[in-house]
Amino acid sequence: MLTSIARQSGTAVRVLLVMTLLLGIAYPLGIWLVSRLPGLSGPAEGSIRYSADGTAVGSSLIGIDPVAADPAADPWFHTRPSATADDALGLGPGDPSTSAGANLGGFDEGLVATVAARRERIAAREGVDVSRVPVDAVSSSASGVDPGISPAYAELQVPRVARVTGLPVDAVRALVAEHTSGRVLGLLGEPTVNTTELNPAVAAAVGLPGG
Amino acid sequence: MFNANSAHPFENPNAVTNLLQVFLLLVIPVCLTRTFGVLVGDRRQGHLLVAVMGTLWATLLTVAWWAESHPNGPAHLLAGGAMEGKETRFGIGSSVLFAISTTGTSTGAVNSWHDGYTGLGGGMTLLNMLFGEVAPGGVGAGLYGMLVLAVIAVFLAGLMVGRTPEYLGKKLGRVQVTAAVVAVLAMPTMVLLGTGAALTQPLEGVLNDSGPHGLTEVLYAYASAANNNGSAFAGITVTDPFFQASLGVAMLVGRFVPILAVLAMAGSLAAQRRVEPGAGSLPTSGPLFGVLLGGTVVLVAALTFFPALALGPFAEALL
Repeated sequence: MLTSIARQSGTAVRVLLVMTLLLGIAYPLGIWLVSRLPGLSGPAEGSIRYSADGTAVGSSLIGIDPVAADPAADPWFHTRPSATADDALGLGPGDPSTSAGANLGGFDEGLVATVAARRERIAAREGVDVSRVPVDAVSSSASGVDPGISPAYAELQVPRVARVTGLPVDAVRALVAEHTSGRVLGLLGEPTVNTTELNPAVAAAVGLPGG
Repeated sequence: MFNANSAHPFENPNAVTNLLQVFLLLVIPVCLTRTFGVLVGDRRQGHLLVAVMGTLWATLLTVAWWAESHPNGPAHLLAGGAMEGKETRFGIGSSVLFAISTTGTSTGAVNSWHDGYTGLGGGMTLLNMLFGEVAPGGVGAGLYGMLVLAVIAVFLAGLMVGRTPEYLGKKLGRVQVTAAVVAVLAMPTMVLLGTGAALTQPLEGVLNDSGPHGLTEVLYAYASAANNNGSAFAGITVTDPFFQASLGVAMLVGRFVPILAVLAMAGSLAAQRRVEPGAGSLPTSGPLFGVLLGGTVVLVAALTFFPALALGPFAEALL
C-alpha cells in the first residue's frame, strides 16, 4: 500500500516536471518563435500602423471612432457605436483599453430609444432620410472596437466624405472598394470595410494630417 | 482589455480565425466519439453518438440562425436587424455558428454577446447547455453526458418491451440506472433551485434587462455555472455575495456529483461480465436507437426546463 502510494506519487511528480517543461516552457517558446517568422511578426505585434515619421498611431484591427476638428465639415468614415464610448449614444470614440458590448435584448426600452436617437443623429450627419441608415450603424458592436462597417454604411458616408474633402465621389468609392474585404471563399463572414485603414487613405489622398 | 474575448479583433481578426476557433472548440469532443467506438470494439457505436450530437447541433444552429435573421424585438426591428452585440466581420452566420458551438462545449468563449440575441436565438444557446452540454460535450468531462443519456435511453427502451436493458453487452440494473439518474438530475436541480432562489432576491441593479429577457439572464447564469460552460448572458451582475455563493455551489454540485455518479457506474459495469447480445437485445448502433437517444436528450431537457424556458426565451420569442 505505502510503496504503491510512493510509486504513484513519484510518477505524478515526474509527469508534473515533464509537463511543466513541455507545456510551461517549450510550448510558449514555440509559439513565440512562430510569431517571429517573416510575415507573421507584424500581426503578432498587433498589426500596428505607423505614421510617416515612424511613430505608432494605432492598430489596423482596432476601430476607434474618429473625431472631426469641425463637426460641420467631417471628413472621416465613422465606425459602429461602441458600448465603451463616453458618448451616451456610443457614437463617439470608444475606450480601446477595454472591450465590451451593451448586452441589451431587443425588447429593452432603453435600447429602442438609443437606436432611434442614433438613427436621427446619423441621418442628420449624412443628410439622408432615417430609413436609409443601415443596421450596423445603429447597433453597438460586440468588442466595442470593431474596425469594420458594412459596405452599406460606407456607401452612406461616401457623399459626405467626398463633399468635405473635395475628392470626386468615384475616387472615394474606389478607396472604399480598396479597403473592403469580401467573404472568405465567398462563404465565411460578411463583407467588411476597415475604417482604420480607410480613413488614413482618405487623408493621404487629400493631404490631410493623419495620412 | 480582452473582456470581449473571441469578439476582440486581436483575438479573432477575421472569418478564417473564427472558423479555426470553432473547429478547435469541437475537435476534441467530436473525436472522442471515435475513441469511444475503438475502446468498446465497435466503431458504429461511436458513429451513432456523433450522428446524434451532430443532429442536435445542426438543429439548434438552424433555429438560432433563423431567429437572429428574423428578430421580433422593437429595438432590432427599428435598427433593421439583430446586429446588436455582433461584429461586422462575422455577421449573423459566423456569430451563431460560434454561439451554438461554444454552448455545446466547455470553453466559455464567445464572439458575440448572447445577451443581445433575440428571444429564440438566445434561447437556443441556453437550451444547448440545458441539454447537459452533450452536443458534442465539453473537454475533460464531456462525452459521459451523452453516454449517461444513452443508458437512460436503453433503460426506457427496456421498460417499453419489459426486458432487462443492456448496453454494449452489459446489463443495466438498479445501481447503473440510479447512477445515471443522479448524474442527469444534478445539473437541473442546481439550475432550477438556483434560479428560483435568485428570483427571491432583490434584483435591482443586478439585471440589465427586464421581463422575460431578465429571467433568461438569471437562468443562463445558473445553466452556465452548473454545466461549467463559462459563457454568459453578460448583462447580469453576479458580484454580490448571494450570486457568488450560489453560483459556486452550482458549479461544485453540477460538476462533481455527475463525475462521482459516472465513476460509480463505470466501476460497477467494469466488474460485470460481458453478455452476448440475444434476440431481444436493442442494437445501439442503428437509426432506431439514434432517434431514441436524440428523443431522450430533448425529452429530459423539455420535461425539466419547459416551464422555465416558456417564461424566459420562448415568451420573448412570442411577444
